[in-house]
Amino acid sequence: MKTIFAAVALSLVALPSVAQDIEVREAFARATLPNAPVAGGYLTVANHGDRDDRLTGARADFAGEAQIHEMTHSGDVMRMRELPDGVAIPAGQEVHLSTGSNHLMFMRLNRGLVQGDTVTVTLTFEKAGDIDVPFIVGPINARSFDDDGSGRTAPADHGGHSH
Amino acid sequence: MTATARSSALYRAVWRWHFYAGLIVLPFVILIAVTGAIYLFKDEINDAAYGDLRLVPAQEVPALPPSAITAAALGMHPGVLRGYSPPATRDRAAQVKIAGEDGLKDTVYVDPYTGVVIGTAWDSGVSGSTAMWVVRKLHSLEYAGWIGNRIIEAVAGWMVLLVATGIYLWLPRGRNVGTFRPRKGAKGRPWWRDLHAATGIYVAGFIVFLAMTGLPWSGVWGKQFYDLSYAAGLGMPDGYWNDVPLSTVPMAEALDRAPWIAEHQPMPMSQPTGGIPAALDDVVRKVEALGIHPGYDLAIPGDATGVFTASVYPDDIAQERVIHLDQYSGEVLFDMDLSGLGTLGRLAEWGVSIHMGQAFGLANQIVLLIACAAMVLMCVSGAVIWWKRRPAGSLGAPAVPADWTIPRGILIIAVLLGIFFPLVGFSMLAIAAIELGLTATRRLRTA
Repeated sequence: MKTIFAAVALSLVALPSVAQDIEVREAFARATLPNAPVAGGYLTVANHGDRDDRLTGARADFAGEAQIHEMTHSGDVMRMRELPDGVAIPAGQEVHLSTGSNHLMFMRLNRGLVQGDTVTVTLTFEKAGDIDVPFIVGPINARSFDDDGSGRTAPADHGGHSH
Repeated sequence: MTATARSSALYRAVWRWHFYAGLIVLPFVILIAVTGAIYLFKDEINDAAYGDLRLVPAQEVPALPPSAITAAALGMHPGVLRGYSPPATRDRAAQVKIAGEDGLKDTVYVDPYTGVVIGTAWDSGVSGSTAMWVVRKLHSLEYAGWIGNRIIEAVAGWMVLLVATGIYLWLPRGRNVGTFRPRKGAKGRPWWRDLHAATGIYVAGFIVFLAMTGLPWSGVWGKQFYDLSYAAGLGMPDGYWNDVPLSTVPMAEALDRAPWIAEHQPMPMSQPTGGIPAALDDVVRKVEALGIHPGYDLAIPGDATGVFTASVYPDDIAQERVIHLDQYSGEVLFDMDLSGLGTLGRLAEWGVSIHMGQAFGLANQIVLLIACAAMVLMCVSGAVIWWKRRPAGSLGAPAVPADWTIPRGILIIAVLLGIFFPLVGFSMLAIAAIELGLTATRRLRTA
């Protein structure tokens, strides 16, 4: 299972979605629990061109709506809000939308996301236009594209439980 | 000794004790009054400071089912589900308690209409925010640990003694002093003295009430109170707080069919990221059908024999309720409201509710806020009178009488109070020892 997952991952890394100057890679979503109305999407966007661009939106057939959300921390409080203007992708830079910061929020899911599946998400950029990107569905607690969810940082309650 | 001399000796003894006790507890009383005044308004403060987490735009559409809300929370904040608090009103966020992968328990705020996670915060329990948690821990001085908590308990007892001795000193004796307001034309120390006396007589009842209703929380007095009232059958019945019933793990049934909650369990709850008991929606439906007051918390079973526990302590304490359900059968194992408690348990809950400014709503909060302000004024005026009469470079305590004739009645009252408030008793013994020591030293010196 792990090998297949890695192979799929490798093939996707090897074949990044490139449209003009924008490259999207390591795109993944977290699997959902039954009945979950929302899911998070995470990716890395590289701007190889020499003009600034902006990720302004996303859509997918499995979600009624997709928003770009920011995550801010102050003390012990974390807040998540929609970024109506999206995320700037400056020329020559890489921008990460990750589990601990800005991310995509898929809402009004019409079906659950199953670990191991690949789903297609259409990303909209201000200059580069629409790009279809395959998102790997990782474990429900995946923190990164290649996280197998084995709980490297298992909660204290389950200390001693090794995989 | 004449009657006048005896009464004057008693007056001086009471004054001295009022002086020592007041000076020692003064900083703590200010702490209790200020933190208490803030905590009275914790809900309002939390809504103002964390409204962006706690409040959502009310919508006409029905809210998502609890299973969807908790699934959304676990998706954005992986961990083990520990509790679920449905929104109390249509403009509030649902709160999902999750033990995260970092081992910390967090509250995840979810928009109940969209399932969007608005934010997370460290789970501060009933305080509702970290800031209010700190205020609460300062109020009980648990912030400073076991010792701090014992000090506050002693202070509560001493406050009752301060009121008693204060009233004795206040009693009009035909002197030209202010009783219900500062005497006319008073300035300087006499004005402060009158302010202290007059404020004190108005706020005396509130101080005693707040001290007595605060004591059920305390480590020594409170524990004794609950143990004794339980033993007398007048306290909290089994299952309300302690001796929570256990779910009976259906061993025989588990062999051929999955337990009730696990039937549709997406993954075992022992996984690093647990699932949601599939029956969460059923449990919520069940306790709401039983008429539980909105704003309740639902605790998720933590192990194989754990139970679902729905509990609510609303402003209207008649609506206080605790329900335990078997996690496998969904059967209601325990369901009790205030009327099921013993007389003393009910009295304590009622007292606590007023103490926290809940029972009578805003009027309750404002009256107690004024009482807190008056207590700070008592401390300030008390300190000013002492400072103004204090001879330069000395403590200025009332003189220890050479002759220790305390009427037997007073001594008996002191002993009884010392037994009733054990921590006051201990501190009284300590102060008495110091006084005896001082007297002995002086006798040696004058001899």
